[in-house]
Amino acid sequence: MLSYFSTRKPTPSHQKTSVPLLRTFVNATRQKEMHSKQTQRKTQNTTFNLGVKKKKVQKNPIPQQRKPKVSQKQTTTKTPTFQVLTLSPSTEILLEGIKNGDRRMLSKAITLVESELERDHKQATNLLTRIIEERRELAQIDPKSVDTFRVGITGPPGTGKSTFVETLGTNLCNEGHKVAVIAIDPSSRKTGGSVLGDRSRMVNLGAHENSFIRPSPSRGIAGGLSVHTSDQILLCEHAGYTHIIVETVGVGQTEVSVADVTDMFMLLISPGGGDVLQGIKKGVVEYADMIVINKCDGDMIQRGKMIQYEYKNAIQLLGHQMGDWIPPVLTASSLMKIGIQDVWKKALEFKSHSQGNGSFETRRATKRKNEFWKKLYEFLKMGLHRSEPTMDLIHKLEPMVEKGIISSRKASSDIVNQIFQYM
Amino acid sequence: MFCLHNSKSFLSSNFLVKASTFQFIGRALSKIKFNAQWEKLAKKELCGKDPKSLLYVSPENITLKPVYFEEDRKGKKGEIPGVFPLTRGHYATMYTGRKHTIRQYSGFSTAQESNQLYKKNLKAGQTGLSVAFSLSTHRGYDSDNPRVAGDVGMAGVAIDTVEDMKILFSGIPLDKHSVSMTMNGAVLPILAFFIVAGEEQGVRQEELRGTIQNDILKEYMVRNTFIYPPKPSMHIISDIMAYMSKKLPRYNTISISGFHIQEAGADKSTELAITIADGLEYIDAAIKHGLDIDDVAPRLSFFFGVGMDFYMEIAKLRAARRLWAKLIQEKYHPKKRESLMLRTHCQTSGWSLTEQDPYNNIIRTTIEAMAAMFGQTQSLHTDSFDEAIGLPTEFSSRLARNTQVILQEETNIPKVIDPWGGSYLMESLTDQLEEKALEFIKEIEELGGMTKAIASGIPKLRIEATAARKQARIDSGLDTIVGVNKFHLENEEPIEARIIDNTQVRLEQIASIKKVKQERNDKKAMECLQAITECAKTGEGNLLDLSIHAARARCTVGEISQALEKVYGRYQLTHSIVQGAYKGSFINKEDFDNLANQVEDFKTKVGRRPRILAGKLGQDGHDRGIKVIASGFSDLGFDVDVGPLFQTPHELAKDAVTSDVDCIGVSSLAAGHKTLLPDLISELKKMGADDIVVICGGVIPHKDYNYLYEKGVHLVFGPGTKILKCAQRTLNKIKEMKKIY
Repeated sequence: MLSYFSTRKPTPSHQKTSVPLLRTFVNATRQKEMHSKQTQRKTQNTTFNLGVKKKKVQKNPIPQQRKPKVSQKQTTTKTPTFQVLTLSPSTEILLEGIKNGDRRMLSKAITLVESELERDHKQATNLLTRIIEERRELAQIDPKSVDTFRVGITGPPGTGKSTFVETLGTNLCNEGHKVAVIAIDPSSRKTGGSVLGDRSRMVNLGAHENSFIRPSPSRGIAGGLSVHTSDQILLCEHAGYTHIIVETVGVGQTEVSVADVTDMFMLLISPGGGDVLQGIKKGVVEYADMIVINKCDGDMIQRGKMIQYEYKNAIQLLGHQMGDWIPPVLTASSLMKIGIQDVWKKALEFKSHSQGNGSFETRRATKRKNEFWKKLYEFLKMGLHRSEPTMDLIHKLEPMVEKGIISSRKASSDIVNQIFQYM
Repeated sequence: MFCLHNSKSFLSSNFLVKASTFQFIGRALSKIKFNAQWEKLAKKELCGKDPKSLLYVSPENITLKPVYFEEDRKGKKGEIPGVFPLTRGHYATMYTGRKHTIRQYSGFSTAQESNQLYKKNLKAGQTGLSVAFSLSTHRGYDSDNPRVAGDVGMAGVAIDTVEDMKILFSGIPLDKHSVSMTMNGAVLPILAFFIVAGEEQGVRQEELRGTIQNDILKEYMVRNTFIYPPKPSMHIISDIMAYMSKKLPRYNTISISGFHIQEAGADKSTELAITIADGLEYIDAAIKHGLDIDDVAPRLSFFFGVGMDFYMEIAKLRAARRLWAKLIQEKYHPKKRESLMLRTHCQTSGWSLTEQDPYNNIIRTTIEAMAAMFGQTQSLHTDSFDEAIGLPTEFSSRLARNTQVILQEETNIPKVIDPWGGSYLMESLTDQLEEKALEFIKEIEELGGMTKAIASGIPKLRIEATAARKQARIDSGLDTIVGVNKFHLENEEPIEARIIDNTQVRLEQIASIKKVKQERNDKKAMECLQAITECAKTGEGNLLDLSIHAARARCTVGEISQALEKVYGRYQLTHSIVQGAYKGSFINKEDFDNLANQVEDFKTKVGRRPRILAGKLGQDGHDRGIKVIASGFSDLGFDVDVGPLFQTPHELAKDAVTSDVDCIGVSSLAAGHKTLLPDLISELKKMGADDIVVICGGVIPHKDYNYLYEKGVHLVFGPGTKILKCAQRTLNKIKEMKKIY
């Protein structure tokens, strides 16, 4: 797994395929696949490198800074990471395209990040590493140039999230901002395919040249967010999108994971929706940096006001992680375009407030750490499935567990022991 | 002429619920009792088989018996035409006193061309005019709006200003001919243009006769040619009723349309119930607006579809008259007799027309026209046989018109009033349909009326459910369609369809808009538009009155619509897509699994599922095709992005690029494909995304296939292609593009 950070140079045949742009890109991807097939076995065997790294991680769980170290260890050259990470020609084209704000390149890069192919995985990792380096450099020159605002929007079904994003996003686009929306759709787990219909609810925003709406299937991962969401955000930011909106469906305890990738977690509720507070788990409200009661128009204005009052009280009891911030509770109607400006004003207030007391950065740091752990677990899982010896053992043990010959506990710990003894 | 069928065509295929149809039969069987003497004889003739095997359960869940007796009338007395509840006809004399109006829905390209056509048709025996407008006009856009580049003049005539309307009726005196106009979205400007065109012909407002469709409620359920959200749209209708009841007493203010509901696949009782419930909602709105029942009700007319289920269609029209009379009497106690009358126009079903072996459609239309006449319709449109293929030609329109002329002139059918009255079968069917429809009407009333019911989505769901059931009946062979699921023709001869040079029409329209705008007093025009916006804001004043002023000042359709849109906004429809339905109804699991495995295999090779964007281009609002695609493809393991309705080629291409899809699937039912698809492909090229597979389906004439392939469309699917076949070919094409084998 950690070979993702490795510096293995692309095969010569790869470097030769460097005719410009798209068609080439597609072809290159094809060839990559063929190669990946050949190299797959090799990589699978190296998967168990994990065992070694794991120990270190346990001792010292500070994520980001370790990267260069790892690569230096594995490479013989002592050049800085920047140059060590040679991208394949097609990925290089992607990076250039992203920096130029090319929609297609950004979109292809997101696909690359989402790809389940191991080869793509490596390229994606390299790409992201390069982007982080570049952004850090940019930040040193001018911090403003990497100043972005990530807003997470969650709410129970039927609270009008998409319409809210449509109205808010269109406003921002009209003000000249570049807005990227990552809309997470629930995936049909039974059959695998997803219907991604969010864009059909964001007509004006979708048509705006300043917007980038990417619906993304959740693939059944808890919290509705995919492991790739934070990477997608980074890609969008590097392509010049300063406002990132992440929209997720439903509210349960796990939905707060949207808070892990965004600067501000906005909870949407509707006045029509059932019992106040009971419908939404307390944990979600605790995480909210702001609550918007949407659909407050017509007959619902009065009821909306009542709910607003109740939530205000509840919030005072619950408090907020950022001690001196009291999450505002606002009413709005995205359909009638009422109150959206106020919501945004408060959001900006939150941003400057948290930037003022430094929590904006510390929160991002904590979130990066959480994100790291999440990815680590996810990649461990993936590595598990990709490792032939482990899967062999699993397939051996599984029927025995089924028949009740050995306990699931015993089987699992046997497998884990085997993995980490391999080294 | 080319009607907006929500046709069964686009890849409808093997979709949904098979078992349920048969369950109905089982349940219904146990209740039926026959005349004992007949049963004995029948059993003998059937060699001992139970006569119950002769029962047929219709899509309405009504059991058609092999024979009817007096008992089936439950001791009800015979009725008299012209006497409450008007089942047999709202006049005492009906056709014997006045023949039905032969009113052929037509219009295409420019006002000049349509005007020529109208004059010719009137000479050839047509007795009333019915104007089909361009989709761009329907949706309130001027022809110079880039958003409608592919729509102008395609499915009807493009009207941008009052000058166009004047040309449309030049040489046709509007005090002599009644004019029906199918317009729902941009109803204010079009009605205003019509009134001003009459005015400038020297015809006073009170002399104008005819009907404006103006039935906005059904647009939200089936046809999607709305502009504003339901609430302001209802306000517009109230203003129109208020104005016209005073100033245009001979003009029908709404034509409440069940036709489009039947076209969407609904059964007759659903069509009947929703139509009547729509009518009640309009009356309620008018009364709330301060009008009297006797001002409103006599100016409402109806519009039903007539399909191939012969007996049921006749019974439907009879039940409709009775239901309406009873409900109006019971709820509003009108003083005028006219308020109880359900006067109706009918159109033969476009749904029943087939692309396969199309000459059969002439026969179908004839039978449907007969049913409409037996049902005592006041006016009738007969479809041209080639409407499932493209726009009708002069030849096919002549045949269609003559179908009615012959029925009127040669058959003696109109010589007897309600000839089916008193038939045990017909009276029994009429009763049953009335009962079934009333049940659903009550359900709608419990939801708080039609506007609220629409918001709840229930009527739409009901239509979609009955449509799915109907499709299942055809797929399983329970209902036959000759040439489609029985008696296939080996070799289909290609037939001619009318070709419209959409680009030319658009250029002519743009030139005339420019001319009108140059010659008008701009300041005056802007004042008129400002007044409309103001009225929409405050609700003070009458929107039709103000639109007439704007029409006189030479404001355009787009300008007047925009003036309202500023306040009301444009309504956006969201799709509800059922997942799992396609898989669930699949009989041949092996084929399904085979393809699903190929999709999985694709995933392991490429790193993600094949991703497809299902989209609609232009102002054609038929969304059933993309729904079926989204549902079927996602069940097979594709990721499906669903785009909004009414997109431009640029917007669709942009969405495809943003989602990085492997394929774009476009559904086209309104003849815009020849402009819109090449535009889409050139947009993709501009964005460097010409490796995206483009497929399309819908009503596309065979002779256009090559043109589309040349322009870069990869696959074209005709009506009735099975989802599985479509998905297989699409997957192969994607693999070919990506060089995966």
